[in-house]
Amino acid sequence: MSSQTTTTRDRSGEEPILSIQDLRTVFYTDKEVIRAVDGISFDIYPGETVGIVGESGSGKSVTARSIMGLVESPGRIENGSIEFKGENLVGKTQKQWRKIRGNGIAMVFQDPLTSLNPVYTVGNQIKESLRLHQGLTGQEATEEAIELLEAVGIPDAGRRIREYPHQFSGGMRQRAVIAMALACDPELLICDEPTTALDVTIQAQILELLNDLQEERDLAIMFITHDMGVIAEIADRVNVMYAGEVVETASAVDLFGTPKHPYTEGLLRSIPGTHDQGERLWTIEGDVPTPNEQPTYCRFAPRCPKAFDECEQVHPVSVPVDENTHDHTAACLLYPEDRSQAEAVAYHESRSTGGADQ
Amino acid sequence: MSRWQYFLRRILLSIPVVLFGTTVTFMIIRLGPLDPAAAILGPTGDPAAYDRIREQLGLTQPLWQQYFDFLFQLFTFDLGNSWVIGPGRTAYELILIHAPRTIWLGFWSVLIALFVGIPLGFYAGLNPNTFSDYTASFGGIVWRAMPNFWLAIIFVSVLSQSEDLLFGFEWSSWLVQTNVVTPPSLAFMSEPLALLTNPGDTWPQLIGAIKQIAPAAIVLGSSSMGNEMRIGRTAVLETINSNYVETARAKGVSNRTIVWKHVFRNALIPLVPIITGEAFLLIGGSVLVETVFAINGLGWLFFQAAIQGDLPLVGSLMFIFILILVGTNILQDFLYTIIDPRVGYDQS
Repeated sequence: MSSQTTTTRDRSGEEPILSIQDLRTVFYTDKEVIRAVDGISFDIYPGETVGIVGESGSGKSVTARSIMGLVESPGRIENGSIEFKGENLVGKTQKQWRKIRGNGIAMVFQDPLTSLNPVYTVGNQIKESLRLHQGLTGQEATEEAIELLEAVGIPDAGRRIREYPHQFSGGMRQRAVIAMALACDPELLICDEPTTALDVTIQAQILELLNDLQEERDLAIMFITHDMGVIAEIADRVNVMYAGEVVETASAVDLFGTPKHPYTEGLLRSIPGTHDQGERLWTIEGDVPTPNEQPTYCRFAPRCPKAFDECEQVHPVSVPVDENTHDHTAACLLYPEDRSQAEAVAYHESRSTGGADQ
Repeated sequence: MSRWQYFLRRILLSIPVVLFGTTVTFMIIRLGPLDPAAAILGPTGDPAAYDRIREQLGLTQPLWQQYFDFLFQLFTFDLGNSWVIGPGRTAYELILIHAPRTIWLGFWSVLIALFVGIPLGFYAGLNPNTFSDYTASFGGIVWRAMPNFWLAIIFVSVLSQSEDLLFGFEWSSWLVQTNVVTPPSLAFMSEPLALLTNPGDTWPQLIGAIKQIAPAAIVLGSSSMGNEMRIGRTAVLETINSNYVETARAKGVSNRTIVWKHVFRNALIPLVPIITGEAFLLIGGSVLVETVFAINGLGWLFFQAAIQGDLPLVGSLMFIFILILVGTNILQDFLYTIIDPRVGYDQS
């Protein structure tokens, strides 16, 4: 789970629980078409934690909402597939999707303070999930809800279950939200910045809780955050997103040890506290561009310290960082590392034109 | 603090409010230009009779004594006799004659606002930026923008010439024969059971009473209806985009449950003060509407009493209005504690 205990699981015989292929979610506005998620692919295997990091506006949350089928007009999934346990979710009606939501995939949102309906008791909201997904009602549901609250570490659950969200503290509310997600008995838990709104000590407690729950229930977790420290703590594998694209995928150990994409390097250098005393904190200049057209260039090039001329003309695709590594890919013209720059550029060019779908 | 202690405190705290309101009322009617003696006497009275009447009415006593008498009588619900409108009759009697018409009017106009405005607003909020939303919203704004007195006159004018203007549809003979401008006949109310025992006679009376009040109720309810529609729409939009609705959606709750369970109750919270605030609007607005439609209710009575200087009647009516308003405010807080658990009884 955390980087110390990571064992490279042999996944040759195992099916991914969630497999995303070339997913593109676009938003149609009056001015432009925004490709909030633009051709991303990744897998999540049972029992592992996959982190998704990136700046604000890089498409992390839209990815999560696409998986949940919660993308609302004017946005829609335009291309690609989301396979959950071998079943493609793209193209399902809202009604069909609702059966998956909660049942197989549950989601914990960013802001625990507003994720619970203020006018119903916490117990009522947990029992709503239990009724929908496990068919429990009445006394049985109450008991199960108390058990769930205890499982997420809420003391005196029997009394707390009758309380309203405003009577809970921030950390307790996030625990209650997690309990509510668990009430669906999911196999995949999507956490959209679940710790961002919490203070650091509570943050650590929630991460620990997720860790324990994962071990107990063999949950797969997709963890979205912009906090590299949190990712280092919790993720087995990490996808780095930039302007709607996955720019680097690696195990957490590799990503923090040998980051390859210049963007990842920049992100890691901008973590406070990793510098010598007195040194200025590193920042990546500029903002994430709005991905509003089919890319024929590297979207990170304008901010990239290592950019060269071809970066403006060739769209990089995800490639292994060198010949011998397969679980570490980067979408950058500098890779594969073992080829010359010209060869690498040509390789990307052929892949991106040959592989393009339109 | 329990719910009942809370309301006991609220009621005790409302006493100074009522006191303040009645004091202001007294100052306005006694220190203002109203001269009841002149109103009783008419324009041709001689000075001696004028002075005599003033003395009879107690207007020659020191002001502070008049003030304490006034307060004492109101707070013991001794509303006194009318001076000008119905000399010799008690204010209580007059109010009892006129109040049912106003209550009948208020009942229907609140009903129209509640059962047309709120559902329409919720519908518009649930289907934002569609054609029906634009129609409802635009209609709400237009409806809200038409002033009561103007709309009332237009209604009266159109309905009295309905054969010419509405393609032969004759309002006054439709269903039951009624006048356009008339106080509603509420005689059947004294025996509500007759609706069951003697349906043949009483049902047409009921329908007639509803028909008589309908145009006035629509006019009076129109502005609050537009208000409720617009606020209902905003409230629904705000709620439906909130995080807890998304969370509910993420756990697979059906759209119907989301609307009825998660959105509805939260959207009602901002509507509560709007709805209770209508009590005020109905009292103020009914003066105009009752005058145009000749309903002769409390609004009309208050207006007549005020311009003719019938001080006990004005004071009594104001006192009753103040009590109604304070009462609705307490009711509003009570509704809040029921709908929104975050509203506590504690002082913190």
